[in-house]
Amino acid sequence: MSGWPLLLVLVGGAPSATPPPHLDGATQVAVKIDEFVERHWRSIGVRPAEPADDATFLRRVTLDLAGRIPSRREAQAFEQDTSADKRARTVRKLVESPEFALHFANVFDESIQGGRAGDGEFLAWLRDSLQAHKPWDQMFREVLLGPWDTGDRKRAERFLARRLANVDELTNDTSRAFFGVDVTCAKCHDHPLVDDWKQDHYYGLSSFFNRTYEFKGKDNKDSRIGEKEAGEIEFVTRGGENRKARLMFLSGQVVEEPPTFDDARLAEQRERAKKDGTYLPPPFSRREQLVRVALEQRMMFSRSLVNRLWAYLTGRGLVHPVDQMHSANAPAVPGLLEWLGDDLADHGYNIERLVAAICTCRVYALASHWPYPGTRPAPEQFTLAPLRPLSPKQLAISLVLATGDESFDESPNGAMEPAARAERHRQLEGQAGGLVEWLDPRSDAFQSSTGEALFMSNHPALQKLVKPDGGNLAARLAQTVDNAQLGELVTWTVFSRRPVVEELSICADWVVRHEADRATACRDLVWALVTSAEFRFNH
Amino acid sequence: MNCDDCNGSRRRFLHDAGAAALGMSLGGLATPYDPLLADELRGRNKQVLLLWLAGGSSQLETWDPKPGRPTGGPFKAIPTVTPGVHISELMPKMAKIMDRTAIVRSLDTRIADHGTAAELMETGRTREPRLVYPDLGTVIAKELAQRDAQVPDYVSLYLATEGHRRPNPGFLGGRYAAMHLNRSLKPENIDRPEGVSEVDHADREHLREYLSERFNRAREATEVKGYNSTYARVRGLMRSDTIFDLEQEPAEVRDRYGRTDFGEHALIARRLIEAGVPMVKVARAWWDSHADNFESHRELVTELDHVMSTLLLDLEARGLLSSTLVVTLSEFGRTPDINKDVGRDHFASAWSFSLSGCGVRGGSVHGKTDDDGRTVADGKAGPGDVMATIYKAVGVDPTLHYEVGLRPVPLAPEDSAPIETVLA
Amino acid sequence: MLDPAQLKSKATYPRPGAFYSLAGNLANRRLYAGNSDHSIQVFDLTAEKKEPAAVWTKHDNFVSALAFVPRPPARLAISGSYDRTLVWWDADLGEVVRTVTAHEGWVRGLEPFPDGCRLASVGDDMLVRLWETDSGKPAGVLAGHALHTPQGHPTALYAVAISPDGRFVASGDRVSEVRVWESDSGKLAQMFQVPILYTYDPRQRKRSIGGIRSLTFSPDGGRLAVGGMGQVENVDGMAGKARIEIWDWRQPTPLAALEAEGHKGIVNHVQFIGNDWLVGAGGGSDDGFLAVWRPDATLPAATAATAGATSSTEPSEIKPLAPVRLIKTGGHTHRFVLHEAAGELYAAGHGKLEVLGWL
Repeated sequence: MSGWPLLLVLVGGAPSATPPPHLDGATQVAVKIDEFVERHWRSIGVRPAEPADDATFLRRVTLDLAGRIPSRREAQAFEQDTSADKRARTVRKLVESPEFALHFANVFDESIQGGRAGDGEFLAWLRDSLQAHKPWDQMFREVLLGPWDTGDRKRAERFLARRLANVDELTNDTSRAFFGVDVTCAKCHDHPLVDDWKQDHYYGLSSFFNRTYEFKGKDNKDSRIGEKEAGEIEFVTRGGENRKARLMFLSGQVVEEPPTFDDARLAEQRERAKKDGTYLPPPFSRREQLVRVALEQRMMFSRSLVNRLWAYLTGRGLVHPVDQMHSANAPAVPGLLEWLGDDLADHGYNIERLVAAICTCRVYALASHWPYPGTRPAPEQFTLAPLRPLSPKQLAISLVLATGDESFDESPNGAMEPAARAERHRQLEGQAGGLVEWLDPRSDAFQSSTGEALFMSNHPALQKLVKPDGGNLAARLAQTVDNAQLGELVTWTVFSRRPVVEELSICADWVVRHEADRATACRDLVWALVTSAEFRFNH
Repeated sequence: MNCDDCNGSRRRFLHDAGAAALGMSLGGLATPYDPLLADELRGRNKQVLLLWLAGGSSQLETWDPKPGRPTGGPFKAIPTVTPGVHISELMPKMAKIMDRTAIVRSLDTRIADHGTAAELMETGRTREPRLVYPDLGTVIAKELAQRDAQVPDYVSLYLATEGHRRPNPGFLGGRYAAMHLNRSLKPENIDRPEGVSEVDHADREHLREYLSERFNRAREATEVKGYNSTYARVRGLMRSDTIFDLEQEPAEVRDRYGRTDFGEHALIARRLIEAGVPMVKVARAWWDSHADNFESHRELVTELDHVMSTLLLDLEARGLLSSTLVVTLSEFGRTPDINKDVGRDHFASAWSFSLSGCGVRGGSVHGKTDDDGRTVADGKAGPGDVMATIYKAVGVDPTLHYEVGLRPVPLAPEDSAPIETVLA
Repeated sequence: MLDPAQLKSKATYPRPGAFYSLAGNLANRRLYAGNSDHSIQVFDLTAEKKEPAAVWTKHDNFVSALAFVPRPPARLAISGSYDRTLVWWDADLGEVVRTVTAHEGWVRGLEPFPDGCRLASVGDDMLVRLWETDSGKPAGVLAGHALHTPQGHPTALYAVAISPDGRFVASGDRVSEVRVWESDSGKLAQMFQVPILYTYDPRQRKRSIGGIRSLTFSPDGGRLAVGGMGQVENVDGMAGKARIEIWDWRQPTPLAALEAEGHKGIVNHVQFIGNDWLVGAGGGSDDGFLAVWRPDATLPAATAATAGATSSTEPSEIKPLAPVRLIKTGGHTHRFVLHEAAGELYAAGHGKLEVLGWL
């Protein structure tokens, strides 16, 4: 990437220039991933499915990185592109696009905030951070430590602020979001299954948070997250013994707290702060220590992110479930998680580089149908791409895009400025907003509800999208006289691929049968395609 | 490929797609909720009707009165048709038919804040961070649902704003998610949209289904099968909106239930049960009488007495009570001690719930509280036991396990057991 | 002369349970207090000890109403209870003279006529019943309050008051209707609604709270003070403003609204002192309270009844008046008795009987 000129990008009002992400070495990382995986396949004697075809690949990677299906133009252009490295180039293009930040902010929001996802301020901070290619360790620091002195920076504080009332929630959520570990069980007893997590670990981790509180200041004017100078956690072991918790990270590393001594100057500062009602930071910050220790130890922190990104993109973590990273739960592919963790840490926790690498590797590009006789393989072998349901936002945006008028990627001279692209994406989001609440959320073992089916079948908002209107898809179909062309148009637009002969017949027959009312026929054709399984899933 | 082949394949999968399509091709004439027909076709299956008394109803003003005690309040106890069993004087109608109903007086469930306690009583256990338990209704819907059902599996009514809770299907997923009514008695998205004819609506669904099945040919993915099955149920669900239409009931019946909201909802519940919906939950909110408890419960319990007795007798008259389990349950009870606002506060240490109908030993009482109602004196039962009892009453094995990932999860928690005293 | 600034507690008689009713033989300083434990406890204020001098047991439920009626040479105490009966007592001997099943529902209130010859009781059968004091025989029934709330739920008839000249009886119910009757003919003289005092929540909690909990005539008979609780957002709590309205009942027109700013709760008992002062007691979110108001001394004089007149001033237009003194009683207060000559007030409620004074 050296030698590329700095692009001046105006996004969200941020005045500073944001250079493209450094994706150097992503291809080499992908090669390394392939090495580990293929070695593993050989050792367990399995063979993978075939690679996914071009159209499937493009749709998959556009959904994963931009949060939407490809437009018809994008899909057709990709098919016509004959260059050998078009897939790798497309991955890079998508990672560098402003749509990546817009979409991946949602992905990180769910991952970090869990049940509390959807906080507008935090989401905006995520978007800006991804837009600025902020590395993961910096994001971690900003969420747990700040600084939160400006309006923009204060948005990162939301994670802590929402969990201040409950130190257990704060401990658990931080541990799951950043270290891939759910230690809840260890609170009451040593973890029944896992030797790693004892009560000491739970309370040890909690101790990094127990002095954190909301400082209100005089007349509530200076509300902020503060940390007290003193305060210990005491707990009762299962054996009934009273124990004082040590500052201990999940790795077992203990942080020794420097002894307090009476410092006249400090005492004076305390007096003054008390009198003025201002905040005085403690001489020793436990939370700061947590960030320091976690980054020094680096294994848990880096592997946790690798695992989550791998899970998001391939459908399953190398360690599964993603918040059960411990010694009794070995990663599915020996050596890979460890190597990628080191690689991530060694390259400045560069998120985009890792994402690009995973999207370029062989596992990511496998087909989702199993070509061999016999049962489908176990998911932890990574020999077959799973079906992944679209998230409500992905589905809603894709519905709007597919049924719309193609103004999304209309551009006078072919190329589009990133700012314009971001703006178009935001417009799609705006139009799709009202649909999201009706659509089934993503989860492990996805199941659809009749609520969504009823919505898609009967709600006026959906009918509005599929009805011929202006230059939208249904209208253009109704105006297409040649039935074969009609079939091509609808398949390329909705399924992002070329139709097979049988499908052209199906469409033609459909239209012919409803000849009396072509408009209605086209409406219902569009409806049937956008509600079909092929559209609903990332496959 | 020509038109005939296409039509042929359409006819073929019409046949395959099951009763949903079949019902449609009869021109919508079949009335799937004709009780006699339904009975003939499949025998009467078990059903559950949960009356969720949201906010915490007072056991001292309902099933476990303590007249004359400092904690008893001003309401007396009255005898019931079951010798030796007394309930609050606020429930004279239930007293007359107490032989259909069993009471458990010894619940000790510890948790006394609304949200956590509601989740506890809905699922039978405390929440785990990684495992989201389905609520009782979703489990019942799954275990008792009929394969070719034309009606929803699980209908939930909560038409108040306070304490509103939507049933959570948890790890059982969307397949058995409740049809939940919160803002109006009209189920959402149940009417065919404007501009789409009956024929078009059905036709396009056939096309959708055909395309989806083509897509799944090479994959055989259960997610896709599940996805398609929800669409297959849409037509049946759309027809079920007449069940919610109270105009279909004679005025005499409507008057009998009373024209209060709760009365109407109970009547709809009876219609749903009659139509074969396996699981119905009707919430009566909001019982949280921190102030003026006696006056509030006078109002609420009088209504409960009337509605519940009307409902039980109506179900019985229609031959439905022996196959329907009717449960009254709250998230907790209320304090024996009266507070400064002449109210009772949250109390989970010694409270009651009731069961009537299917699988229940009518007239039985399990458990005792002490003279003032402060602690359980005998027969302590927890939320898991409530679940186990309900499951067993309708013939569902509470020790059945679901596989969640690699982890077996029992329907009722391992350390719980059905309360045999109240089971037939 | 009432000097409200001086009103303060003088003695407390802590007792278990809650006192719902209170009557006093002011001449010999004896109080009769009806409790939720079904007893009537007799206190001798001249005695040293804080325990009751006597405890009368007869009732089978809360003793919700008490009246002391001297009928020389006898002295009677009459009690009303949720057990639906009225019991006549020899106040000196503490013996039951007679028991009458008075209402088909809880007895909620009882007032003697000023001449002592008759009593009026109200109960949840929504009737005002008149009784001959000496014989216990029924002396009239006043019916008209609705038997159910508009939503079809059970209702209550909480309060009764008798005009100082004995010509009128007023009753107030749960759905905030006040009726004034001619006590001799039984004819309805006037009726009006005070809807702010009854809250039905159809959307959030589907339940009601409130009602006219207290009624009293002004000494000149032209005004009625009506006590209860203003509208609440959350019917789970007694979290509405404690509120009293003074009406010219003949018009009927609201004349004044009395609230205690920032003070939440329900007013259980009100009484005038002279035409100028009003004392109210109650309980709620802010614990029990006693408050003294001085409604505008220039309130228009009571006018002759205007036939067919309806309320002409919107109550909400009237700016509520704050009390000149408010005491937190530390417990929900249900009833008080005034002893103007001695400058004392006796208040009964949850957990205690209290003696206060202003001289």
